[in-house]
Amino acid sequence: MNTLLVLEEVSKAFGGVRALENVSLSLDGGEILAVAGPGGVGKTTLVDVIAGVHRPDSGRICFDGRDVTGFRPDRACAVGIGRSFDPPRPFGGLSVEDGVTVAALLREGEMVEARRRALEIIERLGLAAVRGLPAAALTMPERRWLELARVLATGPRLVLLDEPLAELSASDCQQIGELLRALVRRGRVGVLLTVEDACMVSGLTDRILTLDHGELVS
Amino acid sequence: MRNEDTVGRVRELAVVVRNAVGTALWLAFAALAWLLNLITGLPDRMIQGTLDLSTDFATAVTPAGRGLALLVLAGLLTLPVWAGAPALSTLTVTLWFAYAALAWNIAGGFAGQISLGHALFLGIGAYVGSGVLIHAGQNPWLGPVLAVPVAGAVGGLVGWLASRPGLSVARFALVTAVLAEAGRHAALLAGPHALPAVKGGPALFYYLILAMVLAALVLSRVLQHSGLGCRWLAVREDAVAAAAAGVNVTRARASALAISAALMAPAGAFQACLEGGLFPDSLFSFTRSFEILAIAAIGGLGTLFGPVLGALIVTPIGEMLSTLPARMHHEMPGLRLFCIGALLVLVMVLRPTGLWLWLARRLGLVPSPGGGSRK
Repeated sequence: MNTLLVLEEVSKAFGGVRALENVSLSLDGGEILAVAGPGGVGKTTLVDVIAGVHRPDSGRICFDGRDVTGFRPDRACAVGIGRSFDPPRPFGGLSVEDGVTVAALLREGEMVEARRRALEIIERLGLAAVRGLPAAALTMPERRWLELARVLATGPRLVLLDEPLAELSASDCQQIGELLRALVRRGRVGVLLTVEDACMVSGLTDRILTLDHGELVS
Repeated sequence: MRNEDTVGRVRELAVVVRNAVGTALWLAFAALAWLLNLITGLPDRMIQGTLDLSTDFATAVTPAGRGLALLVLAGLLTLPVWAGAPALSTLTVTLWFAYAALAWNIAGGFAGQISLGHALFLGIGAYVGSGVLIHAGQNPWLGPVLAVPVAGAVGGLVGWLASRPGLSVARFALVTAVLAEAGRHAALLAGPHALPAVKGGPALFYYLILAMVLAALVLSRVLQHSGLGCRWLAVREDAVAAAAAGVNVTRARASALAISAALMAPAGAFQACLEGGLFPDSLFSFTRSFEILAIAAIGGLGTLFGPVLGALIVTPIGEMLSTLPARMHHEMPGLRLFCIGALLVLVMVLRPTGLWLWLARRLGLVPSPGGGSRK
């Protein structure tokens, strides 16, 4: 197994609030890891710190054998760390197709190729019917799928999904589960996702870690 | 004695400014290299853009819209033949504002960088353009061309500043307004300067600015559908999400402002020729920046034809309002600006997306959108 992501003693505080406290974990390619915990325990901060939105106060983040601590978000994305947002952040004024195309531009320099790649992913994720709509007009489940589409369009090796299953129906959850399974099958890609309730992902993930007030408890 | 001291200090300052200008020129060459790198194959793209625009015209416009557009274009092309001197002069000013608003729209509309100080780039365009005219020979065409990369470099720098973390839209607007003021004061040190009259009648100016508007339209269409334009829109919508999708937000913002500023430079040189000299208070004026912004916003931010429509509505009314009180023997300074401001507020309240999208649909120029609703 190849180790994809290693966090060593990562801490992050906002003012006096300790969002992450000496978090260490590792993730292999081909693995789906869930981080569970109720709202406000630092799950989003964990995703933000790995994806470069926040620089950790201390500790080290290694991705694919390379120190990526404090990378800017776009650089983190360029080296292969794709992340989704919770709540979703669609580009409200852009069509679904354009929003995914922007992400696809990272790997495809030319507009035509980027658009083709975006359409492929839109098709695969079942968004074809709404591809011309402004993203602001989408329903919550569609927004979750759009987040996923944008992450996949950047061609990531590490997929960070913040609450990808929240407010989704059982069949949507199952479809996302199948998609992620297919994604990690060849062992090149790893997935880290966050959930409020560990029961939601019991059949889907390989491992579940629980976050409690910034500290990992297993 | 004191007076002489002041004069001496002003002279010293002038030397500093001149050195700064020299440095800016070197930066401009660097910017030119970067711009050339960025727009390699620009002629190809412009041709492709013209073709795309014609395709849009043939497919995405109703027959009524096509008829009206051809009528307007034919009218504009033959205007000097059938219109009188006052109408020609008004239309020249109108097209000038259309061009400036199109240039502003690239940063303000596409990339969401609401600048309150685009007059800075007008002033730079005018001063660099005329500086070349005065000091390095009499070719009036060389100056504006050299002014383009200078303004572009300054614009890129401002855009880079603007993407520092924590600089919000409002703060960016303030920074640009302050920079334009700084430019005005720097230019005031040099003082106003008369320019030798450029040969050619009003018709030459008219056709020149018409060509500039058409070129700016094509360029806007090219940028709108390019990868760069796509990234600008994403940054405008949500910079955090754009960064997470791999967009370099700093580079996107800097490039939008650089291109927008570079396009403003020829407009500045044009204005200086039209006014027959360099007048800092007019070139760098906040009023000018505001008018350009208002025209783009009234027409529709981020739309292709909005800035042109805005200029066609606002400028003739404005010209009328500034001559009307004089004819009635009343001095009413500020009436024009008051009316533009009132119109802007009205449009922002009633049609926040601008008049173009609304009007085009209302008059049946484009088919009513089917994409807005679900099947």
